Amino acid sequence: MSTDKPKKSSFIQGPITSEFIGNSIAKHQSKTTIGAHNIFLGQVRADVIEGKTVAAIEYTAYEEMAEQTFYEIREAAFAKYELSCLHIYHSLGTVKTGEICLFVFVSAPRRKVVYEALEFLVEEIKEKTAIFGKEIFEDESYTWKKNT
Amino acid sequence: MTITLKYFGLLADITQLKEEQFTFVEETISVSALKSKIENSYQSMQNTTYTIAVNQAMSSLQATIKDQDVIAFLPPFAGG
Repeated sequence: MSTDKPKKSSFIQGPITSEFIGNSIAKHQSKTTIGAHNIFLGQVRADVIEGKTVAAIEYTAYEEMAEQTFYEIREAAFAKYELSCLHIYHSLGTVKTGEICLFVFVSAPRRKVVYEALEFLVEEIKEKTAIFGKEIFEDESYTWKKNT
Repeated sequence: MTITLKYFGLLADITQLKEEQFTFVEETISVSALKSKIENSYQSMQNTTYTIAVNQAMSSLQATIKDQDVIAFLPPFAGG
């Protein structure tokens, strides 16, 4: 097991607001070697499962392990692609349909790598991070979400 | 040996617990032997898909668990 410690928290309580996303973009204006940003936003979808509509997802995580995984994914992306910086944020707790639960933000001097790096990051996060989602229906019953 | 077990998502629903401690007379135990013991205690776990992490790293069934280890039972991931 890696002994490297995660450097900062990637978890946010509740939905990720457009204000938070806007502020993250604004913070990069001083980094003038950057020529390209790419952003992925995961939004909670109102899936219909056996006739019932999802109203929200309640996220939980094995937080210590997930933070370590985020750190390792981040390091892998920096090793693989020439990036200036990257940021990963994921919600915990309740996120309603239409709200944002995942925000991945990559920046580089030139555009080509940001497309590839973003796809790599999102796929790695979905596959490897110990995050669990309870899909809560409009009648307050629930089922556990599985990534497909 | 004493180990800590953590349950997440559907598995916490089944066990009605987030965490518990187990003490065995043995000094070590394999992950597969622990899995059998736990599935004996919580029989609904036999019908679910899950992976096991030992000290926050994904583990194989052949791995050995020792005193003070933290074992997590993880249902399918659903991030994003």
